[in-house]
Amino acid sequence: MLHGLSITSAILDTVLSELPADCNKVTRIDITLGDLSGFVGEHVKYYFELLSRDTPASDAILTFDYKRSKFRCTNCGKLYERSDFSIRCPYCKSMGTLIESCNSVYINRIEVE
Amino acid sequence: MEIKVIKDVLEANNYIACKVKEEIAKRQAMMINIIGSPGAGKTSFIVKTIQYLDIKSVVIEGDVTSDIDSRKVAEFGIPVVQVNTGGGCHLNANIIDLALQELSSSAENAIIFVENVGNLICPASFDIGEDFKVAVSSLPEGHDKPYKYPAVFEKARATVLNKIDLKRHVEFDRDSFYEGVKTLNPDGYIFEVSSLLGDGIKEWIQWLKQQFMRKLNH
Repeated sequence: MLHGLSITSAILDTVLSELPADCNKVTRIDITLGDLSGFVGEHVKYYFELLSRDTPASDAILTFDYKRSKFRCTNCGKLYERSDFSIRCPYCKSMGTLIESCNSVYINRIEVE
Repeated sequence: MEIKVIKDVLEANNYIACKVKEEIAKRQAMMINIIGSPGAGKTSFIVKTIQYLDIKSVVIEGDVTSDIDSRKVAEFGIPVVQVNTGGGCHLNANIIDLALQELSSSAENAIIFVENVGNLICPASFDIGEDFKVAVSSLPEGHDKPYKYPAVFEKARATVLNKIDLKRHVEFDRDSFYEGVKTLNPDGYIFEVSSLLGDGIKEWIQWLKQQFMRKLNH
């Protein structure tokens, strides 16, 4: 039910804390989401709309850059990224080993007026 | 105007988590964050572990609401604090900071078991200041859990496969489960236990004591 609410609240808090004193409007927020973070952009957008009402960020456009975790196949040795539905190697369908985990949520940049 | 930020949005939580870690180190304690879905048998697993363990133990019970689990733990004479999130689907570092204050001296030279809210998603994202996470999964949930909820299995130092006493009664592809966990977490440990009968608990306890001794000796 509340999945995503806390992270969205943290995004809003971070953005507002970064807002310079002479700015009164946030127009854009660029966010990086790791595929193992457990959060999805559409949910964040939904909660952001609710939480940001009556704040300088209420009209901000949110953009998401998805980072995918990397695996090395234990069979064919190829590097591959996790797909939406599988952690298997897309080349030989074997399982691999996680070598780079993307589980963070970062704000990269914001645009203000 | 553009402002470069590059900030982890969980920075505020992580800051408190660091404070909690320091507090736990000061108390010469070790804290374990137990994560699993509702009904995985987390409470029974914690109780059975403490019954077999010859190290002082305390429990922080996290639930959306109710004190059912903490009453169950207290029946065994184990010091316990119940925290309710009031709708929140995970514990955060601030809640644990407050719970530790309640536990005061009983959480010294001890293992602190934190039972997170029953959920395989959000709890994996929030550091509560624990020494390590333990994922609890059970046979009736199915072998697909590492594939559907990868984050928790990736982050857990140990995965506990509970309710192995039910293996004759449920369909469970053990190889597939192991393959999923090992793909995400090649260095992680897996323990098969029955919290009901005590099967496998001794092996788990032995490992747990090693973790505790290793921490104290550092």
